[in-house]
Amino acid sequence: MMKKIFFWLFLIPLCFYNMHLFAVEKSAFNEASNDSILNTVSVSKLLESRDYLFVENGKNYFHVLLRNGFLTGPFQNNEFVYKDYSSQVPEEINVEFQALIPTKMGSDTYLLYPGGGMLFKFNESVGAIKRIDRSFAHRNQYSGYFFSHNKNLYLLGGYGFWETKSLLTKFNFSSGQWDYIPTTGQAPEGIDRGAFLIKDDKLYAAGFVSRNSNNQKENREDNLYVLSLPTSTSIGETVASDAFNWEKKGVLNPLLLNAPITALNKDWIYKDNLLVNIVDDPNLYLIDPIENIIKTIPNDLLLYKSGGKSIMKNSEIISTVRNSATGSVSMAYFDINGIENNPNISEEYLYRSSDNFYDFLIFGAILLVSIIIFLWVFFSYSNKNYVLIDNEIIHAKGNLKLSEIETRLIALFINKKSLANSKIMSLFTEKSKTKDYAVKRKNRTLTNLNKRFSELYGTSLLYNQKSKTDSRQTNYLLNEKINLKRN
Amino acid sequence: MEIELLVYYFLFLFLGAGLSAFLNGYLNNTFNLNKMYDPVVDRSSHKDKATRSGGLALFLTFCICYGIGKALGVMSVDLYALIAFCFVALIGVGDDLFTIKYREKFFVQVFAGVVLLQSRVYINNFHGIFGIYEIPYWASAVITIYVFVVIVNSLNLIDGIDGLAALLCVKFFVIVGAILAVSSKEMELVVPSIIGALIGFLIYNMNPHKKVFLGDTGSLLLGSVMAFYIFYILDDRSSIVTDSNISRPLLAVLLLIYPLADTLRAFIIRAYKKQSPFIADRVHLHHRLIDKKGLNHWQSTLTILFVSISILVLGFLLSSVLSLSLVILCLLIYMIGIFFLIFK
Repeated sequence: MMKKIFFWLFLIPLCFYNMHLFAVEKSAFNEASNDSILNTVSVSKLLESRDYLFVENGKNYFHVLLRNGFLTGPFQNNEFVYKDYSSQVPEEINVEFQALIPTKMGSDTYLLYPGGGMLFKFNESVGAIKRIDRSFAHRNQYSGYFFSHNKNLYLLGGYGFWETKSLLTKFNFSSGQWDYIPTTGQAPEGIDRGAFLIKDDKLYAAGFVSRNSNNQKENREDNLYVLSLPTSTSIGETVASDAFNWEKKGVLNPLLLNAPITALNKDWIYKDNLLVNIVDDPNLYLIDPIENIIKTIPNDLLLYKSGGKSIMKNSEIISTVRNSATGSVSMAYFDINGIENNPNISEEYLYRSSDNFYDFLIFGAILLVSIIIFLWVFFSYSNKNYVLIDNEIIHAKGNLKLSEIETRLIALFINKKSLANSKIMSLFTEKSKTKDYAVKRKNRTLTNLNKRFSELYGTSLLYNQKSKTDSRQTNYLLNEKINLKRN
Repeated sequence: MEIELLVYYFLFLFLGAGLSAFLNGYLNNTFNLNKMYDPVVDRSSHKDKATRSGGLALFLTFCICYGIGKALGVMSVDLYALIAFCFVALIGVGDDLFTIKYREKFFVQVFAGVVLLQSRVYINNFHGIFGIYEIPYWASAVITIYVFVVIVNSLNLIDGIDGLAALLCVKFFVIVGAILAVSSKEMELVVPSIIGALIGFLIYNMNPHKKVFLGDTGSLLLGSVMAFYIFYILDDRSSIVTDSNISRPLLAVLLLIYPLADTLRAFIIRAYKKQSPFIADRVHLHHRLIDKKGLNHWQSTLTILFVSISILVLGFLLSSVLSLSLVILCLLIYMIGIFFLIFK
């Protein structure tokens, strides 16, 4: 008895304390009777429960799935039509709707239970969510990429049981099970989160992480990967064994690498390309993997204010914004129409591949060969140079010490290729000595110098020749292969 | 290749070469005026006057090129790595101008290695060598510092003949440049600056009339920059485009094959002769080419350059078709063959 009294004493104040919450939800749902038209304020009240999910519809409309019914809109004045589900939501959906992963195939929307396994179908015309699998919540592929392609549903990668996976599974509509699809090529180690784009039967994957199974350390994958998808459209048709082939395209532009690991979590398909918003980054990035282009678009859309899952409809990002002061939630539309025409857009490569590596390698090899050829030519030329410094001839093959008279003799040939005998004789002539002595001394000096020069450098320094104008006169010529310089 | 990148490449290549040529000439004259020549001793390969001003010119060239690159917003290297390079260069300058004891040099190198660790670029993974992959931080730190000291000193030891260390560095940076061009936008332009600086230096290094040597400043500085890029390749957080072709540790060893192989060989010979492994002598392979084969410096340098390129290319090609252990075996056989064919 006492327990019951305490229970009621506790419960009644609690109900009063939370009265405003009950009031909001009750009033909202009172307004939201079947087929009622709700205005923006009423929709916002419904969204305060946080248990909602945006899913796509036809060209101009989208749905907001709620626990008991769904909204379709926006119609005139941003009004939505509310409908109750024709049957109760399966009890297996025991998580918030935000946790479900939606994908569109044809006119139907499929909802995947977090971690994979259980699959639900939202049928708009019937107005119901039904479970369609015979699997179970295996919790093996959290944060995997759930997508549809050519009338098939796939789940790629994910994290579960302390491991990231890169496995691909396909939903078998006949058995209600998920079939394992073997892939070939350079598959990444694991795919957890990330940004994805399907274009021309290829799935482009980037910005995901893998985790070390021992210490759970996250490793950001810096490369862009491409998974080829089968082009076949008929259900049940067997596909080639290498239809699902992975290819590692190359290293992503550092614009994306510098982002925090979990940042590539807001992305939308915009005009067949991937539009990415990175946390703490004021820019939007428009990625075209086929053209290998990433466009950096400065924007003032204040996308960071939006929370939860969003969808792209025509050229509007539809999300919710929570007022931090009042806590109220309202639907927000971020119009990105024409952002690609922004004059301040900068364009860069998206990834560099091994082709670029080989290009640079060839460029480097040409550079190296050019350096060698340049040095070779430079030193072939400089090998001709014999530099007179003090009493020494300096050359790559060695230095030749000179006597004082030899230095004076060599100095005469600097910038001159030929000298008359009389000029050389002037070096050796002494007033106190005979001319014969001077001639002998000159000849001895020249012979000695030539001999030592030849021994060291393998070529003679000087040779004599009769003058063409006067046969009695001898000229001394410097070897043509020698270029004498003074430092 | 994008045109803008190519323009920057050539800009920094010519800037590096021009600055280096000017600074080498200027410092050579200054050193000559002050009669600061490299002493000619028995084991010297040069007989003429030369200055050890090349390293200082390279260091100043790097600083100016990096400053311009940073100002243009096209170049960025981790600050801790830059501090480590400065430490190593300064101890080199000290050793070139005065004489510093080996123990003191070694201490500064270890300290620079510790500073380099703070850049968060280090060997944190063995990539399957000995069946080991990720390694704990303390082991990473010890191994990184050890490898840093080994690389820095091995480059210092092969700097014995004209052009050898510089041309082997050019080869290293050409390949690292191609890797960085794919994986690191902020560091890709460091490479043309270094190659340009080395071209400017080589013009003087091989010039008999104004001979300039790298000195300890140059060899230690280049060694530490090379060590940093080796760590970048071995760090499992960096994405290396050659991963699908060749194992990272094998690539790192092949990039430095001549300095490592020659240093190891010299240490073994000295240990066999019961000498200190750090004693300076003429047992290096490049000395053999000059002393026994009668080649000149230029011929020896080119021979060693082409041999080291051939080993790298062979390793790269074999890695695409054979397992790592078989590749290593083939390369060892090839290297032994080359030794008997060219160096014996």
